[in-house]
Amino acid sequence: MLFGRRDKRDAFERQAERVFPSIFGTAVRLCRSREEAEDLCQEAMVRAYEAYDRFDGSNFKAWMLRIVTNLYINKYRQRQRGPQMGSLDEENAAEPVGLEGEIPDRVLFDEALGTEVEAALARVPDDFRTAVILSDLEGLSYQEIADATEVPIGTVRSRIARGRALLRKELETYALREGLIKLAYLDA
Amino acid sequence: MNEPIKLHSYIDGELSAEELRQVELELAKNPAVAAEYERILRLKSFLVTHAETFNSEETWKICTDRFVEIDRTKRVDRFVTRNAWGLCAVIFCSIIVGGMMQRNNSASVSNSEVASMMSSFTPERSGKTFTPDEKKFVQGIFSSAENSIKKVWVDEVMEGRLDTGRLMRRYKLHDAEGPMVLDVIAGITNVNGMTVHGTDDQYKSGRIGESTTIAWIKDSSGVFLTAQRDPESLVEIARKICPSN
Repeated sequence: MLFGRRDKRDAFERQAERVFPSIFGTAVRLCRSREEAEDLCQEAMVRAYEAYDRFDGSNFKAWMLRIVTNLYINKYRQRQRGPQMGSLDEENAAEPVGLEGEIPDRVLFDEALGTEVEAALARVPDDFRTAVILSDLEGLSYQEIADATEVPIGTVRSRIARGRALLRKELETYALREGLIKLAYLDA
Repeated sequence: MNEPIKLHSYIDGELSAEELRQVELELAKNPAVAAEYERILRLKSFLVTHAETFNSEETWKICTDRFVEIDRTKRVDRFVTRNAWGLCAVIFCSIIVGGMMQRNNSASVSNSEVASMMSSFTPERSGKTFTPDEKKFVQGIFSSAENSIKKVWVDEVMEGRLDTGRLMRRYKLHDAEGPMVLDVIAGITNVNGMTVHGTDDQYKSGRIGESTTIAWIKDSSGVFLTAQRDPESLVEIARKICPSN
């Protein structure tokens, strides 16, 4: 049994080490605080390790992200201060990512740096941010996101669409504030 | 496009075959939808290429340490759970055996134990004639001068073991004032609970029923002299029969 336990730990660690950067990155983006993300990550890893016997063997990364997201929603999000902006979450309430004549993507994206992208993403309300992170950065399917966030798949669709639109707006606001782009682009 | 959400689902590969066909038709005939499609694609690609990479090595190390700790805790838990009955039995037996050993081997006895020993004594053999060994033993106890012991006579010697396993010898004695009983119990170096007699702390006195008992220690044996008379006279006799004390 001692060796069985050791084998289990080795197997878990092999899989977990591969996906850990993704898990940690997701935790940082969800919490918007490195310290909280470290706590969230450790707690999620411990839970996953203890529940490893119940893992169905299909998609380890999706399973881990589900644990992290669930834990964040049920425990860590409630701790965080500040207003929760979740009322935008009406199913089918999507808007275009961009409008004709607004800031050209080339101008907007060429000027932005990694920290600016993270800052813009951090300003997107929780539910939409979570959906965009899991979909665009971690590559989960809509069904996997629905399982992780415990909402219907239709809600996932609308959150992703709305989240992307909000992210682009945040990037524009940031670029304008920092003088990276001129208002003329908006008037064009 | 009436359902802009579908464009996102199309990019993410989450549409059914029928929905896919509809979106592709729309993309082909509507430049605004095609432009929106391009914008979503660029945003998605931009996010992936510009997202920061966070250093997670230290946190991973902490996690692996916790896995080891979890395993160690589970191992102990499992051992305790599996062997709970066994451990209980071992502890229980240790207590019982320890108690018995304490009882059997303790060099100290209390006055109530002395009374119990004396009353429960059942001799295995007895007689008025001394065997050579008994004589030797008696001489050891009564290692007094001839003239001292002349006034005390040994009527009978009985020997047996107490239920604690200790060897006990009982000497029925008498002198001019009446009968006495001298009990010698092996393996006793201290008697608790009895009163120290006067200034001579070698002798302790107590009552057993109507009788007075004087106790003292000689050669790792407890010696108890019992008679219906006062402690002083018993101590005087004790000094005569065991002057080496």
